Amino acid sequence: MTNILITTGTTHFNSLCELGSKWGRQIQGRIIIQDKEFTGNHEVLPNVSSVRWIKNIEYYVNQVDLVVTHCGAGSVFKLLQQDIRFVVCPNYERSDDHQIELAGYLRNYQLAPVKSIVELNNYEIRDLIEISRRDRYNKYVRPRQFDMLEFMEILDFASIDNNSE
Amino acid sequence: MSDKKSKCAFIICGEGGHLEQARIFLKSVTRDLDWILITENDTDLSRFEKQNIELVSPVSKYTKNLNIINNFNFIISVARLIFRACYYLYKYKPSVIVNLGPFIGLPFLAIATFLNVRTVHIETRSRFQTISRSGKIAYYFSKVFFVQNPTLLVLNQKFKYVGRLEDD
Repeated sequence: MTNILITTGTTHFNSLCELGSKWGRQIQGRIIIQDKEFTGNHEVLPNVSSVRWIKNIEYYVNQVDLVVTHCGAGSVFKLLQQDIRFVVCPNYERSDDHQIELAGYLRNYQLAPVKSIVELNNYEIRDLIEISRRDRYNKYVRPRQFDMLEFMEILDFASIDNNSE
Repeated sequence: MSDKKSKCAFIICGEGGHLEQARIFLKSVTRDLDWILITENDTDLSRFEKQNIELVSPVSKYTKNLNIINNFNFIISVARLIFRACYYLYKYKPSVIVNLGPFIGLPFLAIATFLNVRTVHIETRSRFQTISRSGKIAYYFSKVFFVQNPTLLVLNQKFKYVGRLEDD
């Protein structure tokens, strides 16, 4: 049984959710779609379920065979840190373009497969799972952790500068 | 209105990845300030039980998909947000305001500029080459502007980098 998790964070991404329904006809396992505001037309299938939130998403990503995610920072960095195999689909349905830069970062450093919604539409779900398992991607090297002490020091300097003006 | 002895600080963020960054930020804050999280009232806050939280009407969702209805809702939400910003600034008199984006923190930063409050914008970690729309506006209202990817440092001398907000 093949289980798939699709996560779209807090943003509309109807075309990815609808793709979940299409994949539901191709596999025996379950497809869980996390989408806060899904308003699209999707076929109701017994093995496809939609939820607004998944509280323990860190646990669920380890239980499924494939994670397909939008390219939001919250989802992507969490998956990278957990060393989970996943496929990224940047959300071009948004009015802003911030997912494009993160997608470029993943591509440039070869951290995860990045597929547009058009590309995903052309895949059979089995092929996509095979690609995510077969292709080699670099391990995520964590950058410098946010330094709170330095942050507060800079803030204090800003305060002194401001008072002396 | 500014109170130099105020121990209160605001951290303001929208939903999703912004809220996640706030959670990571609050895990490492020093104890000499009382941090209050200000966020949108339609988001999942189950991981913030122990924090002081104030909620405002959602704004972010109207900026993600621009259309006539969303534009109208956005204007109404911004008016309410400005009112809320004035109220919370008066109520708590914070000494520091940290904005993690997107739009929600801008009224707070703009009003606080006139109150001699230390205003900070932390640009989202998903930006590597350009600054976000809210970051471009926040730039004018923040005394310190932090980026989370060093590739952005070349864009402006005002930008500071002290690392990326990620879980341990």
